Amino acid sequence: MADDREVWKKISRGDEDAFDAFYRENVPGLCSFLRQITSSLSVAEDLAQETFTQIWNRPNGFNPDRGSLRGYLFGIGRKQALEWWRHQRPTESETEAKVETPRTELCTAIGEALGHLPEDQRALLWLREVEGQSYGELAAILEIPIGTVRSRLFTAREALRNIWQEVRKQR
Amino acid sequence: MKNIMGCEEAAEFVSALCDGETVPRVAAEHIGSCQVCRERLESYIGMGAELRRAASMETTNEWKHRTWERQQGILQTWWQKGWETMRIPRFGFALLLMVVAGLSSGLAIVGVRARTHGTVVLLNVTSPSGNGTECPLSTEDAQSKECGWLVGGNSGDLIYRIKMLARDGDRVELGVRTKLVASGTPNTPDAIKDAPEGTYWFEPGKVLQVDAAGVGPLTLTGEWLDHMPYFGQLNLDRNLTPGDNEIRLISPVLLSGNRVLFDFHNGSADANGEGHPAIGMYVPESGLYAFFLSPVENGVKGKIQENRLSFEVDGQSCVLLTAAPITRSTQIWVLHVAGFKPTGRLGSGASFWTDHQDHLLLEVRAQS
Repeated sequence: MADDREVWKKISRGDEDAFDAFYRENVPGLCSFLRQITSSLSVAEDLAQETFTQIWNRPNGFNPDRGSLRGYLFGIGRKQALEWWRHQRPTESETEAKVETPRTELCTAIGEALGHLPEDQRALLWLREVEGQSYGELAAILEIPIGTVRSRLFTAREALRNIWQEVRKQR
Repeated sequence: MKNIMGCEEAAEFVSALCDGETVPRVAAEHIGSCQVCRERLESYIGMGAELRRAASMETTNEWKHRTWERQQGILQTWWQKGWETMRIPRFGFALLLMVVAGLSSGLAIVGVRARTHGTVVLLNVTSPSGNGTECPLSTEDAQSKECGWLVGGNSGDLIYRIKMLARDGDRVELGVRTKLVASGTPNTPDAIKDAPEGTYWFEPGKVLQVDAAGVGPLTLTGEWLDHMPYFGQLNLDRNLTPGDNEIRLISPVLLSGNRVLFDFHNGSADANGEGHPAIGMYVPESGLYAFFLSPVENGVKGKIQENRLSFEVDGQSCVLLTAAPITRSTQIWVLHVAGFKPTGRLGSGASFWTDHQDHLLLEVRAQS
């Protein structure tokens, strides 16, 4: 957290090198996360760029007392993705067609299973298992109470487990 | 009794274990001995590992170097854009903004004045013995520029009167007279007029202490109000409903037929507490009207409708109108004694005072 304060102090002062280092360190993870939500690499890359641009242009946006800088980054990224989804909301028939298509591009059974989960469960599991976000960070990113994180993680894991078993049987 | 947990209850704790959380002992014991839960735990752990493995296989793009240049403030660009594309005369628009700003600042000033620069100072006065009273003083209304109290004590009664003298911005100049008198001295302006008047500048929000005739300090605190408080000098917690053993007469007017016998404008009396509270009211040339919550010898029953009391004495209908409800009950007993003359602290003019039923009746009997 002390590190976050230092980094943010530099960023908010307009230190381009400090922000570029922060960008390089976090853009791959953010992009993978956004790809899970949007199912599109190019969209994820665009949203990642927009996320970093937004943070750079809001030097007073982050409060170190309210969470980690990385949690702040992923929270904004998720909001960008949800906003993108709102504009992309397909018509009824397109939605049905989409269900048939795995939403992630991970070429594994677990990737296929993950693609069948709703967006919020995918985001939660990805942030926890791949990004290693703590319960507190997850609560801040997803804007839910910390007590809800545990129960939602359980629900998501159980759903993924059931689908994963089905996918493995089919393969 | 041993607490036993089932697989369904333990399932959420299995998930928590994967996240490095600790779980309740009963859940830990169950998971340790239950094959189903252990399989669930292993599959959760396996899923996590698989997810991380899959994520690691994702192709990582080479992220190009970006230059980071902070945008001009959004507000500034919005303003410039609006200014450049404005279709109404710019001078007119600027003038409109100035008018709006001027009006709103005027409203803000009026708002502040209403709160902090009222015309009434509500003083809280605490006597040396700790008795607290409220004393609202107006800076404008000549009839509400003075208040005074009498506090009984072992070595005599302390009378004090506080007068609003002048105002200077947020502070006011007060004239304070205090005097220690023998018990039974009337609490009238005359009783204290020979006491020297000390003048003090008092600023509401601060504390002022004034020596009270050598007895101790009179402590004054207060606040600005933009109105004269309804209950004047009574500590009624601003509640309109009287207590179940209480008589309140606030700014009463006594009518006999169509004639006003006396108007006690701004006067108040509040009899309450243990025992049998009573209020005596003396009207010159008409005598004593005493009010009781229970029947008394020679008393007549009066009917109360909120702030008006109707009763009949000597064949004449009387009405006592007040500014607020008189009692919680709908009836009260009135004793009229035509030849009554007040004694002691009451002075000889029109007055009304709180008393105890027995004491007041004793005074009445003493004169009959």
